[in-house]
Amino acid sequence: MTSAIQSIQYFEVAGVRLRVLLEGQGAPLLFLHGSGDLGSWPEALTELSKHFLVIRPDHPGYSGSSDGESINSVHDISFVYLSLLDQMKLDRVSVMGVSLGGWIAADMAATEPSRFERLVLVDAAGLRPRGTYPDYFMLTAVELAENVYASSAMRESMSVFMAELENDTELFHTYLRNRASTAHLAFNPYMHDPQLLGRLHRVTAETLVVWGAQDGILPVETSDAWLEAIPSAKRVVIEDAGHLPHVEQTNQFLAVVSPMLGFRPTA
Amino acid sequence: MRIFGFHLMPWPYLTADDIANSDSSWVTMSNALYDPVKGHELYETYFNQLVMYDRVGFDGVSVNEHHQTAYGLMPSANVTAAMLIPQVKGMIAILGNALPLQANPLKIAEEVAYLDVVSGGRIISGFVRGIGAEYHSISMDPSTSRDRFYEAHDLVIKAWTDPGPFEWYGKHYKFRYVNPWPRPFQQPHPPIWSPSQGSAETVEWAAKNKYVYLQTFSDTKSCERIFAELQEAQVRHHGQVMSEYAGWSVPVYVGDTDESAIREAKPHIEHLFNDLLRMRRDQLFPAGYLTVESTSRVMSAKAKGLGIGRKTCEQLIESGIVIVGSADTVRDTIVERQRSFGFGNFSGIFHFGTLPNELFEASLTRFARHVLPTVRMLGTPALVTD
Repeated sequence: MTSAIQSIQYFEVAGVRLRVLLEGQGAPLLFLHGSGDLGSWPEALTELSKHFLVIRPDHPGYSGSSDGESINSVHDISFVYLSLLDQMKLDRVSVMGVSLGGWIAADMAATEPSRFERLVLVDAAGLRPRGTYPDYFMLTAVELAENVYASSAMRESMSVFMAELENDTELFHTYLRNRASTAHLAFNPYMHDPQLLGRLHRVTAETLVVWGAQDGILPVETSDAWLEAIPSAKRVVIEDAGHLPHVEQTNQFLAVVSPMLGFRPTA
Repeated sequence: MRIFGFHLMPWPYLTADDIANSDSSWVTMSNALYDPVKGHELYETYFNQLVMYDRVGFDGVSVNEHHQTAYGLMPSANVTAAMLIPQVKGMIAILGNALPLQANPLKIAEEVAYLDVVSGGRIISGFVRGIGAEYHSISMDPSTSRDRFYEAHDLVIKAWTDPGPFEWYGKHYKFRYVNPWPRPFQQPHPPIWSPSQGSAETVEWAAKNKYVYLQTFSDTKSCERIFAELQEAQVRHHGQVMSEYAGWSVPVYVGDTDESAIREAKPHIEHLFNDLLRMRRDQLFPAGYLTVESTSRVMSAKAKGLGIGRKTCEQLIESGIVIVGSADTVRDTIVERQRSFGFGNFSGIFHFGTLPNELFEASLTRFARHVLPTVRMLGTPALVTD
């Protein structure tokens, strides 16, 4: 999943050692991964890096980044990333966040609004989920794959991958550590922060809410909550996609976000 | 050796359909299945059974707490202990209060001191982290469980031993005034027990603090390893093996013969291990509840944790997780295990699963008559040197 082109840089920010994957040049685009990500560079980022400087950190407590003693909430992570932008001397960026990453992105955009030009929320956590959804923390690795993806081909191949995960000690440890970090951030309240709702009025970034029509983790009805909280936001629902539309329908995803981000996909 | 009788107070009325319709008897099994009228009669039976331990001459009774499950219907160990104080003469072991599940651990300091004073110093205070599923049951971040346990423990002990008021600003708990009234009857505080299934860290912690380490629901092989670790740690910290700080908890059934014992106990013990203990893997080991390394070991498909996979009564006997047999068999087994493990406290679980009251009474009566006189002498200096 991770191609070899990106450079890896480490940053010491507020007591956290962040592993950051970087690729491309131009306007900065901060990409914030989801809770199930094992340190990957999704294919969509390779296309985006032809138009932007894509900055993809591992969150504190995830994959190649260290735990932060003072990290007890998504809001705490926001401050780490705002300081990362300071260190990188990036005054104004666009941010794209998936799932947990969307939650962090929205929190950052509400905390320091003037810094964010565009905000892309992809199947974002952070507001109370709507519809019928499973308990992420009860699911086995295989059940997770079955709920994350919409197409039977993706479900099957990812179920096999997840079933074999425990045979790869290093990757399995990453999975378990990331999952513990997610529990710390999102066990209660489940996958959201009631305080965030009251802060989103501050968001000034142009906002696009993208959702997989068959999201089995955070149902598509949850996107209504984002439109209610950020009335200027636009929404696009991608068919035949689950919780990770940028992975499952990469071309369509790029087509959907390109007008807003102002680029023309090469594919 | 000190002998205790333990109870789980399970819900014994689950039907095969109830079990088939749910993937766990914890967290998500609907409480619509609970019938309070039957529950009333059941508590009367269960409390009588606890009192019977005391009547037949046990040193104490032990109780615990579980939350939102058919497995155990004591949502508060302290409330259970309070009801037992006027009914039993011996000790009451609270095994234990699940400290990290408490928003306010000072309430535990207050309640246990209260029970200790009212009972005139008959309270044993067990502290546990709570079963993994209980972090789901009360929506508590499991990744902070270990940290909260240690901090709550330190706070409770300090509240019992240091004159108040003092301030407490820990990572998880903050109090401007720590100053609980009453203070415990036993000084400096009631004996602390640490029930566990054998985490190396808990063994070390109990040994270091001179707490009774109580091994629960474990096979002979694990027990041998863990009690050896405990003794090694006791020698390292205190220069000697201290059997009085080691305990073993095990389900026991005594029949007329080995055959009748197995026949009588089988459906009830299998119900406990296969139906009531049944949990999803991520319920038993929620994210962050154990360290990454420990989780990796127990989450492996090859791992056969309790509550995962079915076991027969015969397999449970064979592996040493339960003791079922005639009085001779039960007595010889406990004698042999005591020599091998070296515990000075024994906590028998004489009620399990769906066991009817008449079988409980018959089994406990046989134990009291034919087993108790021998096993209570175990671990005393006279026998240790034989």
